[in-house]
Amino acid sequence: MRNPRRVWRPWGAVAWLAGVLFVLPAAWMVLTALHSEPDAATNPPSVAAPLTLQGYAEFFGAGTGVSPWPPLINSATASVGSTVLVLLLAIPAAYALAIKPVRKWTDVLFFFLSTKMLPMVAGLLPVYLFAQYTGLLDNISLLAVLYTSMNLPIAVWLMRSFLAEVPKEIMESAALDGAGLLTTLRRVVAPVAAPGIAATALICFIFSWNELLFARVLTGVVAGTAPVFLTGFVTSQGLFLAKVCAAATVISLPVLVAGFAAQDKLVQGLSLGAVK
Amino acid sequence: MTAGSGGRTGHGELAPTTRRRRRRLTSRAVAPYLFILPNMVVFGLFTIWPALNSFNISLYDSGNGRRFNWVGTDNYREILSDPEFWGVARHTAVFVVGFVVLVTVAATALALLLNAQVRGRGLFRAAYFLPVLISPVVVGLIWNWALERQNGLVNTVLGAMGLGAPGWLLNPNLAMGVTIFVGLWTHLGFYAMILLAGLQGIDPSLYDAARIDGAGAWQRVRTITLPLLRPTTLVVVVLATIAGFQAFDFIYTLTGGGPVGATTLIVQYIYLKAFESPIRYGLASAAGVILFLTVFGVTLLNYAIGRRREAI
Repeated sequence: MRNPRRVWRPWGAVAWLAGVLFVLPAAWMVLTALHSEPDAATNPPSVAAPLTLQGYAEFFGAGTGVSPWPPLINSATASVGSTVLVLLLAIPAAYALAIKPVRKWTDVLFFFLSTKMLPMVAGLLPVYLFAQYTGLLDNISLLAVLYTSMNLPIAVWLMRSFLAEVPKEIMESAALDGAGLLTTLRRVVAPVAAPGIAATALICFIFSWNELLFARVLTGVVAGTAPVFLTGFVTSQGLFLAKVCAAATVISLPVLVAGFAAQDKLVQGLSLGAVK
Repeated sequence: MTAGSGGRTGHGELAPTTRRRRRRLTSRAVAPYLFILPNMVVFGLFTIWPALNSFNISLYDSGNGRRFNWVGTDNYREILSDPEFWGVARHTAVFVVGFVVLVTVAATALALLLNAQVRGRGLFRAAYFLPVLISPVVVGLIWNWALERQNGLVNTVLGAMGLGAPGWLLNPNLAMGVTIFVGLWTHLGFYAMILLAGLQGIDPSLYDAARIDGAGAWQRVRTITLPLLRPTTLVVVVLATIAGFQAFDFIYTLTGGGPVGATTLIVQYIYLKAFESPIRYGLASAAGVILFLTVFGVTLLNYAIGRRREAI
């Protein structure tokens, strides 16, 4: 890799131009959210119009007649709840697959991954009928459990690769020193694997926060999540572009923060999981 | 890998060892399975059971969801002779092929650029990673606005350049192209990251050797990078294929499946059959089973082709 820049400089410029064009539509959404409704509706779009928080104020406030807080809280409940459940279930399994020799562990891993091929929409109908039968429709706990189940394969896969980084020798010497399983986990495994576990948790959070299909079918007025709310908001308020852009920006924000926090570890986990 | 079996075979000869020690060994051999069990239970209840049950439902006919009449394979027969289903299947095939090919090529190019250390790499990587994080519902909205015929960002720019104002979301062919592009936009960063990780696993000394032998940049990419990257590319192709077959949420807010059903893909078709009047639970489930078999078959095919190429 000597002097790679010299070779790539013209391509670098092209890539940067493409990169700017790439984020432009998203940037435009953020900008429009900060414009007043008349400015947001002009053609051509008024780039230099004065900025205002009116769109956000109307989104959160009285302007629309519906409060965005219940769906935001529902999304937070489902996402955080399912993430905690995923960690509780996936850490021991990943630990078993990574550190303890389980015979045919590759088969177990392949089983987890092959379920990714099951189309989620096909399983949705039986779940819907079950929820209808048991009165669990429009209940956020059901959604949290379902997201847990959906996230388990990728979580186990990623965390196995993070936990596999814990040096075996350290574990063995801990065992020789008489450390029990729990002590070993807490003192030896956790510190090494913590950043990877945090990244996995953020990935689960992102997926659950963004999920639309199941949330749309299984929730209603009470347990509706943010994406479901947004699709309804677009239908009812679609003409007020600034307000809808504000809504879309607010709903994207938690995930953007979580995502950029996890980016590096995510790449590392994927590389270990995918390439090895 | 061998400690478990060692506990069973090797220690038989150490008969005088205390019973306590032996029990500890057995518990150590069982513990890993206990750790995996809760996963399997949750997974079995909320992923495997619904999948099996949807196969079961596909053999019944039910209008209202209360009474189920056994109809055997009638749903499959009906669906396979339904022109609407074949239209959806054709759209899905076009989308999946277009999406997988474009995203794999684009992600490889992007990963090569990122690996070559473009100036301001962190920011650059973040720019391409941004759409991965944006909620698909919002992704659909952003592009629905940007591609709006009169006031949209894209046509405003095209108009300023005197290139007219195509009805991106109104013309069926353009709408399919746009749907593939938006799918590319939201997934590109993710697959590029995976490929980048694969690139960084290639031994740099190979490039030095090739350079000494007088190989140009393109030649090095073609003869070293791409062949060594093949296992990672295979992973990307497999993941993209599965994602392509399951595309739904961003299309829902981008085109809503229109115009005139031109971008209605299989997941939306199943959704409509199952949850919108006239409700056809059996038919929807049959379509789900067909989708699963297709994805499974295509994935196996991907692996088979990928592996054979590796062997050559």
